[in-house]
Amino acid sequence: MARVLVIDDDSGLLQMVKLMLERAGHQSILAEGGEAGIKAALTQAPDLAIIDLMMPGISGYDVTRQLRANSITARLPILILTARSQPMDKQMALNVGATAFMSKPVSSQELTGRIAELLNGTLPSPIPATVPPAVDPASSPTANSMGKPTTPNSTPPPTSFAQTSGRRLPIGADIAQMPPGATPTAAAPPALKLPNKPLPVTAVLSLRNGGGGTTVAINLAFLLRRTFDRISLIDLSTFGGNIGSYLHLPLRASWADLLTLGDTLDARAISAALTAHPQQGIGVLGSPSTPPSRSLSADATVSLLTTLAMGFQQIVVDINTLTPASIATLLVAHSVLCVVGDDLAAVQANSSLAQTLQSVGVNPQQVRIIVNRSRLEVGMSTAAISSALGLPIAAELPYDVNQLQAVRRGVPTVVMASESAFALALQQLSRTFVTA
Amino acid sequence: MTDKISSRKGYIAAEFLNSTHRISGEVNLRNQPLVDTLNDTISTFVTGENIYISPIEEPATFIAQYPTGKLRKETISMVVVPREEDGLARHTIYHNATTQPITYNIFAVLPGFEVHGGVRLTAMLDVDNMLMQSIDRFITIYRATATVVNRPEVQFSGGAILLNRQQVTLFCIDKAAST
Repeated sequence: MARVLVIDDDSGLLQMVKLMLERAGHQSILAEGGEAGIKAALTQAPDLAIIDLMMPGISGYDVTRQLRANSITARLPILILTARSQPMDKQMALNVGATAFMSKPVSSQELTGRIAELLNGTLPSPIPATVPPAVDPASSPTANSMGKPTTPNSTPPPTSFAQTSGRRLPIGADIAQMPPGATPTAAAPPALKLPNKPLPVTAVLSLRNGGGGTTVAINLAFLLRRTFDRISLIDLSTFGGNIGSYLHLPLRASWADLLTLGDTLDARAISAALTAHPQQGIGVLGSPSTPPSRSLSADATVSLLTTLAMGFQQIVVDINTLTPASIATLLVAHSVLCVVGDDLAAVQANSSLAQTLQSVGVNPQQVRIIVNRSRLEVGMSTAAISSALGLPIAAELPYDVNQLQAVRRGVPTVVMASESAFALALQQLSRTFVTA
Repeated sequence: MTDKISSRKGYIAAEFLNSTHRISGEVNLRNQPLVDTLNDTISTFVTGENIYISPIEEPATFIAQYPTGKLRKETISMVVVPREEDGLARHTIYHNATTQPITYNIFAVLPGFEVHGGVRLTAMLDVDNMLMQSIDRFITIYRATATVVNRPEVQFSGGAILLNRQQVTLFCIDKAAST
């Protein structure tokens, strides 16, 4: 069964095509007009789109052009179905990016036959696999830089975590999300198959709610979007994550919707679970609103991230608990940014961070500690935080008055105030630790 | 439910051509064939809906779109319809049911166009009758192709093309090449 988007200004025709598609075992997404169609294509991850040419407002040619220009729909099979049946119409449709062309009248058999051809012949994966030119060639990293461990110039990474033995994991209630009696080490199955090299995944870890990890993850994703066309943002919170609400983005699905798919996730199912940010096209996977029965398994998480890495150039994962899924993410990430607040409680909560990460097998070379000064009040000094954690501090993010307004407006600070101190500091951090 | 995806029920999608423009639209048939609507001398205009306009020399480019528009029949050079049956007049349907028409290849010249196709003649309908004695403005050419003279690569094909008889400069028929 495929998800077929039908874009036409004629509601009667939409219903007719819907019936035809349902008879053929497909699921239909109906959009009355070009604008609604583009929105549906970007947010509902169809497997194929059927587009009329003659529509008021945005013509089918323009819809096709816009879908081809967007990384999310760049490889979506597009069938033009139109009353304009002349050879020049077909040529024009193909020139603007359509995959196939049919002229009305057309029978149900002809239409469903063509759909089957398109789905079988030109749909290897709904997740784009080709890399279009970067927005800014000057700042665009080479393909070779992706997936390599970052080596900052300014702060040498630790070769091993400081030992803080004898202290309990500082994740309090978070540990309750793990199976009874399990330790973080046990949570990652020993037979977990990891990719040969790190994936283009940046894990943003904040083991204390309110530490600013989600803010950093969101802003980092939007910052990376300036350089890369295809960015994915994943919220691995056990439930009630804030990415959707911070962006004012209704999320169509969460990682919990992938639980029924087993340990090997299908690219189409992953694509269908992603919600595209309407302006930036960032593919967002949310967390469930209520606690699910279990976490995504480590194998399923590796499958998820490996599949996403086939189509997305950078993947940012927001982590605030240690579950099999988040541990697997830490293990495959090319960069782990641990976001720590500057208040005493935040530092205390992270006091066993090094031991925790070491116990789950995270490569210390890939871990950076980021101090996030999210309050107007002056907090602990960088040196004091470093001393308390037993780890070097790689970067500081200053307090920014724009942040509250950014959350209210659903626009990340790096977009709303791109020259703000926070945005510039995050930009530097990104260049040094993520895209270097 | 019909098993064909086509125009709205009761409407026909057609292409109206003259030497300057290609006008795509739908016509409400009101229970009569399109050619009969075009040949209805009571009305000077025919009403089109969902009108999309293109220059004849850039026929795939939309330059304007309107929900409805009136087309002056006498200025339409030809109308391209997708299927042969879309070009049948009511009396032709009757004739075809009672007599065996013979199809002859034709070549016609109209301002800006050359047209190839076939006419179906019967004992009761010969070419003189069709061109000179008939009161019908539009005559049906089946399986026809109209070529834009200034841009021969631009061609319009359809199951039928309804030619405006009053704009025909030259009409040739090849009786030997009947099919």
